[in-house]
Amino acid sequence: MREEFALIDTTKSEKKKERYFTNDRILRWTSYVLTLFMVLLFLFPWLWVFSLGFKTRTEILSPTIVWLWKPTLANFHEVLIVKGYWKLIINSLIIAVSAVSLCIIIGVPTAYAFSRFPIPGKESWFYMILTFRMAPAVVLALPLYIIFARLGLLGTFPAPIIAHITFTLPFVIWLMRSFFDDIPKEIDAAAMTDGYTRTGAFIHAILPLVKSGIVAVTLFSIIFSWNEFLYGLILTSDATRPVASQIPSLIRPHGTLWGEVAALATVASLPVAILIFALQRSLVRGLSFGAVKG
Amino acid sequence: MKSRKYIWWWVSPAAILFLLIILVPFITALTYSFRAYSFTDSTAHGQFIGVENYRKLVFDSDFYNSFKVTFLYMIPAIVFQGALGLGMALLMAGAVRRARILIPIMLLPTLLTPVVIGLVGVLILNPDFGIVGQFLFRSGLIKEAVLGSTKLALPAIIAVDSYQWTPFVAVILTAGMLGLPKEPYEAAQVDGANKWQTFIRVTMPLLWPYLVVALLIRVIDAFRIFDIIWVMTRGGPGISTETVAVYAYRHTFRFWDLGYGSALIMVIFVFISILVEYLYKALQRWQSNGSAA
Amino acid sequence: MAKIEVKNIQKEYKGGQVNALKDVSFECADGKFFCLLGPAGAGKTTTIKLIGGVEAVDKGEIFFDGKAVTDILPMERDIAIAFETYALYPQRTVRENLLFPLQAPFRKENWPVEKAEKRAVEIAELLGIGELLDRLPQQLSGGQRQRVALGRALVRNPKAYLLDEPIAHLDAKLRHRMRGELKRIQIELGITTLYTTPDQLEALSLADEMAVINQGIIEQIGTPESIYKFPKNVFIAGFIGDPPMNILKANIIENGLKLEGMGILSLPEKQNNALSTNLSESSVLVGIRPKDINLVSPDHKDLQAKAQVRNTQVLGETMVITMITDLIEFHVKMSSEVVPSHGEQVGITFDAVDCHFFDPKTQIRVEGL
Repeated sequence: MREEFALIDTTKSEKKKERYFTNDRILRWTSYVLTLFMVLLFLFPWLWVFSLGFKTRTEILSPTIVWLWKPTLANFHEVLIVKGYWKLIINSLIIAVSAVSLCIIIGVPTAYAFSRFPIPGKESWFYMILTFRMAPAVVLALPLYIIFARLGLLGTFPAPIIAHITFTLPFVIWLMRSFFDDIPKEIDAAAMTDGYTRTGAFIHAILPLVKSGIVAVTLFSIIFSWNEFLYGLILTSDATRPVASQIPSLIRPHGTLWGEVAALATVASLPVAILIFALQRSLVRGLSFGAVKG
Repeated sequence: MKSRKYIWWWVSPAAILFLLIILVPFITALTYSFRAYSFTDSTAHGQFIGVENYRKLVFDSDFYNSFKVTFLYMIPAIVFQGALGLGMALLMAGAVRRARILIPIMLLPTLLTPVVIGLVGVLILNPDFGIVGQFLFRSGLIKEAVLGSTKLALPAIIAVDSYQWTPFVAVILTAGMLGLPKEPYEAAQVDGANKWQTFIRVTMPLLWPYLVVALLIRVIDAFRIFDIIWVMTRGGPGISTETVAVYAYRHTFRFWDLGYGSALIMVIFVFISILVEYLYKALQRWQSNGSAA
Repeated sequence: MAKIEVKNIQKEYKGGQVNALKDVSFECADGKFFCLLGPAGAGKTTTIKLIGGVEAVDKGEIFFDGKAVTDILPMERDIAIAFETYALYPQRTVRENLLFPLQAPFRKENWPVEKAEKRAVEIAELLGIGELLDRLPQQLSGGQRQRVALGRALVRNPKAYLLDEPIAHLDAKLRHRMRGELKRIQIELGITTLYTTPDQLEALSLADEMAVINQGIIEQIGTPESIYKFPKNVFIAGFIGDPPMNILKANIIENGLKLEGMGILSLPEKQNNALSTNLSESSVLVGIRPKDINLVSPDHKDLQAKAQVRNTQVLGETMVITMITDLIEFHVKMSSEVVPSHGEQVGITFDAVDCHFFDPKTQIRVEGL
């Protein structure tokens, strides 16, 4: 009798285990599939615009959605070479690299100082930075326009570069400071007793530890600078305009050459897309740090 | 050794640079706000006119409208992005754990220039060949182009903005979820909680800080939003999508009334600083309450 | 090697909100092992940081061998610090960690590569980490990391070593072993060592001389023996010794003391008079170490108190009994030959000779007894 009971018991629990196991698995794999679906759904609009760059005018305007077509590079050729817009990309590059390099060189030591030293008025700096972060770009754009006009710098590169510094520098200091905060202050102390000055400790002991942080901040800053629209529009001339600022002017009420616009937009987006994949790991860390730590 | 002067060495380049590029424009704007400076008005040549610009501002109904539009955009956007972002995070968390590469893919819309996102919006909603616009137009659901309709333009902008930023919210929440401790879940399991209860009682409280931070960032950005709106509607039709930023742009760089524009940006700046202070204090209060709990 | 003198140093943090050190003075003789003992937050780490030069004093002076070092940089003070948290350079191997001090710009000429390498290996072998030279700190156990931190301090023959709770985060057995190792190395190399710890057992066993610090004030300086035998105030009395000294309240009566919640302790006339003259009121605090209390039968005449056994902890050959009268709980330490049962009523006696007396108002020891 007891053996029978025993048999019944184990079979029941085994069945339960099996069923539980499968249920869970089904749920999990469903979520994976749904996630994949969702990701594709999100990518689709951009991919579609991306594809427009490779279509001819008639293909774009055709009422039915064309899934397969013979891709053409005519739009790219037209927009980049014939109209010479490849220069815009160089402009974006010049502005981004200049602004970001300057901000890294100045911002990283400053962030270290904010992390290690008691700075009077830290709160007020914070408030001011936050206020500027929140205010529309116009707030700074107008006075900068006036000043640069007076100085005769409108349309030159220094103008947008300086404008970009206004939002890049706080970002660099903000993020680097939280990276520095993560390094225990004892390491500074250890290096200083080991025979380094504060500067020496900073260069030889601390900096190597934030290398990946600096890379992440640099790449992020380049992305933000690349994407910037208003300053790039107002403070530049046709010769110095970055790519992002030029695109909207190609969109006219009538007769817009969508293929070319799409092509330009694609070229403007590619560097960012590439950088994102280079930044994979830092992205998550950077986001949660910067976000949660405020 | 650790004297004031020494600290100054470290901080001065940034401090000087900052003061220059912030203070000087600030003072410039302040002085201009009290003068008449307009490229379109031939009588205005920089004479001092006291608070005339401010007076004009106070009586401009479009100014108040821009605030209304901003809030009409901000509230639904935040609610939508928060809810959808949460849903997406819950769905994604498992898959992301397996395939970290999903994160950069999801963040693509967020990190692309808003101009391109705006372009995506324009193209999709195009009534002739846009993948969504076509369908809406042909099926008779809408009579005019979405972006030309005073009723539909703002929702369209909210939708496009959400397209760009919901993944951001979702990724922050996902990152938060992946870092959640296991113990509360094990305790809930031992206590016999079902999936819904676990969600409400364990997941939500733990995720709450991340949600607040993500949405706070969105609130901060709400006043800045410009690029998308400019590309899609230029603030129109009429002024139905004219947020504060767009209104400011129109009056400064379209009408070229620099005096009025300066007054405008001064007022906006003051408004934002008050908002920041309020938000900051609320955040402090909330944080100290939350940590006590 | 150097003699370290600290005179009246003060340190505040957060603009006066936190008073870390109020007025600290002591001396560590050349080649001696000096312990700074105190509970958490007493100011031990702050003291180390100030002596090391990592932070600046607000007031006061510091001398090495008579020379004032209060205002010179840490790297010029030629001392080595081993931190509680080890502070190893995470991206460098053990070898590189040990070499780092020798590569400092102003020291580099004295240490050509070969000499430096040899020294690093020498120190590593001394500390038993010779095989770990090419590992990264994250690949090491706590005990190994601690030895690397110590090695980094030893590698350059500084004037003195400042060790801030260096073995705090090791397990009990390893701590016990490292205590012995540290003392041995210190004696062998004859290095002036300043060692902080919250563990009074550690201080008592390691120090040539020690100071007890509490809330930024030095309570007492002396040899471990003198501090143990003659604690200057109630705080020290309760802090030193394991289990801590029992502190009982009492009132002075004709021939002795009436212990609160207990019985009578008779005192010789001389002591009684001394007490009355030294105290402003007629109450006094009596300190008696658990090991000086005897257990007797409850009917014994001349008891100091009758008490009930609340709890017994047998620690091998000794045991600690927690006892309770109507009002007071106290501890007794004795050999564990006969273990009383829970709830048993017993009597306790102790001798006036073994007592320490403290003024209840000032908490200070009454001298001359």
